[in-house]
Formats: sequence, C-alpha cells, structure tokens
Amino acid sequence: MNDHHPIWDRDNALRRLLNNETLLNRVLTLFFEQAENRLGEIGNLISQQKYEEAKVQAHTLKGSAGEVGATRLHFHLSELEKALVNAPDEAPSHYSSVVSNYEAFSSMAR
Amino acid sequence: MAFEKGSVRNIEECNVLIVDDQASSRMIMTSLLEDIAHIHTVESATQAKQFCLLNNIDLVVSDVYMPEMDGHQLCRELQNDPITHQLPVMFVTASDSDEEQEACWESGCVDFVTKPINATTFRNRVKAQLSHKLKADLLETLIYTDRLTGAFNRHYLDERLTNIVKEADREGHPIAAAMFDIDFFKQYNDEYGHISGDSCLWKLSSAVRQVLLRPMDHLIRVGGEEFLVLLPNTTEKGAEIVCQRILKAVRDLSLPHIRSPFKKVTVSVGVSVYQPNQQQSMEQIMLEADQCLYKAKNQGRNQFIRSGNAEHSNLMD
Repeated sequence: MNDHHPIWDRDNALRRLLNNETLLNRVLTLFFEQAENRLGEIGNLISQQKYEEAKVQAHTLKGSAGEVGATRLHFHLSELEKALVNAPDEAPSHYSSVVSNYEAFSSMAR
Repeated sequence: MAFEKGSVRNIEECNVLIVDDQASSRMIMTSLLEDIAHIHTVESATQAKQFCLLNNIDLVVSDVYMPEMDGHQLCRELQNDPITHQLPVMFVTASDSDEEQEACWESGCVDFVTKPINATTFRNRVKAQLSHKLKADLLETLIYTDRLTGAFNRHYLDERLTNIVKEADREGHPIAAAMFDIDFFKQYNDEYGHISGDSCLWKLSSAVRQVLLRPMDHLIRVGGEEFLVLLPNTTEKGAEIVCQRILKAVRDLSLPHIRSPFKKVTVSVGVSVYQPNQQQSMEQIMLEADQCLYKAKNQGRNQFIRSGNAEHSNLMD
C-alpha cells in the first residue's frame, strides 16, 4: 500500500544536510543505535493498549526516519501515528508494516 | 560620544539554543547552524528554561514533542518570565497538520519549520529571526539609553519600573534604590567647562556600571548629574555594600576638582529599600532615597545614608 515511497532516499537526505556525507553517516549511526529499542517499545505499548505513549514514541521515530531519508518507513510511521489517535484497533497491522519497512531500510542503509 | 562600544552586535555573535530530546536532531541542527551563530544544546524543556535564565540567548529553536514538558509549554513559560519574555522561539516539528500549526502559533512562536529539515530553509529562517532580534535589541538600546553617559534614561524608568516592582512583589523580594549625585558639580562645570563636565559624567557612569555586578542591576540617569541605581532582590545590607563600592569607584577615578574640599570628584548617596507587598510604594521609597541623599549632602558629602539608619559611611581619603 502506497509503497511508491522509496525505502531509502539517500540523495534527498544528503541534500537536506547540505551534502555533508560525514553528517549523514553520523546521523545514520545514531538512528540505528536507538531505532530497534524504540520499535520494540512501540510494540509493547500497543499490546498494552497504551496508545498515547505509543503515539509519542512513533512520532519521535518518525522524525528520526525522516532525518536519514527512510522515506517509506517515515510514511508508515505517520500512518501508525494517525491510527493510534483515530483507530487504535488498526494499530497492530500498521505496526507490522513499520517493522517490515524498518528491516528493509536496515538491510539497505546499514 | 558616550555610546558604548560593542552595543551593536552582528549575527555571528548571537547565541542560539537548540532544544531537542533526540541526539540526532541536535547534531543535525548544530551542524547546520554552527557557522551562523554560537550554538548551545539542551535535551529538555526544563533544561532550556534554566539555560535561558542564566545565559543571554537570542533565539530558541525547539522541538515540539518532548517528554515531561513540551515545546509549546516551554514557549509559554518563557513568555511569562520577565527575564525571557521577549526571547523568540522557533519550533521544529515533525507534524505539519493544521492543528499543530495552530498550536505552534497559539503558544507564541515566531516561526516554525517542519522535519525532516530542509537545510537551506532552516538556515535562512534562523538568520532572518536573528537579524530581526538584533534590530529589536538595537532599537531598545537606542530608546532606553542616555547617549551622554551610556546609563539607562528616564524613559526606561517610566516604562519598566512597574514591571520591576510587580516581579519583586510576586517573588517576595526587596528592591534597593540608591539615588546619588555629584558633589559640587556646578562648581566643577564653572571651573572646568561643560565639555569636561560631560566627560566627568561619562567616566563616572562607566565606573559605577562596572561595580554593578548583576545583569538585573540598573544605573539610570534621572537628571543632569543625578543618578538612580535600582537593585532588585537586594536587602539593606547588600545595598550598603553596593553604596560603598560606588563611593570607592568614584573616588578611585581621582578626577581632580580643585573647588571641592576633597580636591577630587565625589558623590553623595541616599538609599532606601522597598519591601514587597507592604504599604510603602516604590515612588515613596525613591523619595526617601532622595531625602537621604540630601541628608548625606548636609552631613558633609562623599558618603551614603540609608533610610531608617542614622549611621553613615564616610569614605573620605
């Protein structure tokens, strides 16, 4: 669904950082250092039906995904965030998309 | 003549505070701005508030969603504090929904940019805000500064006194008011001429400003050779210490004055202390300080007298 977003729009991410490769690499390192823990945390919060807290975590991860050019992950986190506010029942399926897109991004960008 | 050097700043000298709980965002924003101004970073809104109170920050660039206190709340709290109420806040937000935009403006921000940040837009927005801040600061300096002495002027006193008193009442702090003028200044002008008189006022004002150590202490020129020092959160004891410093600073200038018995320029000081939420108004306190100044004159000059205290400190050589 809507997966016309690229998994990794590296050029765009780089352009946003004034073509500073070193900075992009440092930001990527920071992203991978915290993303998996945060993803796990979001999953736990959803299963405990703590939707508001899950939303805050998803919002933060979405911001980080945008920074590194993980465009498709960014899109799915945005959908998850909306679902957590408007339709929490749909949150688990959005969460699954987020996880699979994280894995796709991770295998490309690591 | 006496407009303080260094009062006109440029953007490179400005201080920007970045507030974001995400290390990656702090790193990106710092990298994008570090050639524009001095960049400082904190991880939370609570830290940001403290930082702004203790440092001269020109622009806050803050994330919106943060644990404990969010960016909107930070913006409101900065606006409610008299020290930071004019500090501009720019938001960086990962949400561009209509509601979020409304909430940003509602909380009092001057601008916002969306994440992921576009470097060129972000840099130019920050530059524009800093440039605006510098112009506003300069205008304020020009309006509130006495050009001859570099001290604040009467207009500053009229505009700000109410807020200074309100703040003291709210915090339960006293305010010391020290009124002083130059001894035998008419004779000084007659002897040395008005240009030397102006120069004397400038040197004296500079020396006194140097002994007012806290940013909230203010030297105000209220008349020809008459000055007021306002010392918020200062007790009688603290005020006496400052008065002694003022007398000493002027004495140490050693400006010759052959028509004074002290043979150099001296001042007399009257001081009174406003107690928060008491009957006596700040205007009455300043009147009392003025009366003490006359007592100091009558008792021989080159000394200070504090209201409600017969003791005086004579710092003649």
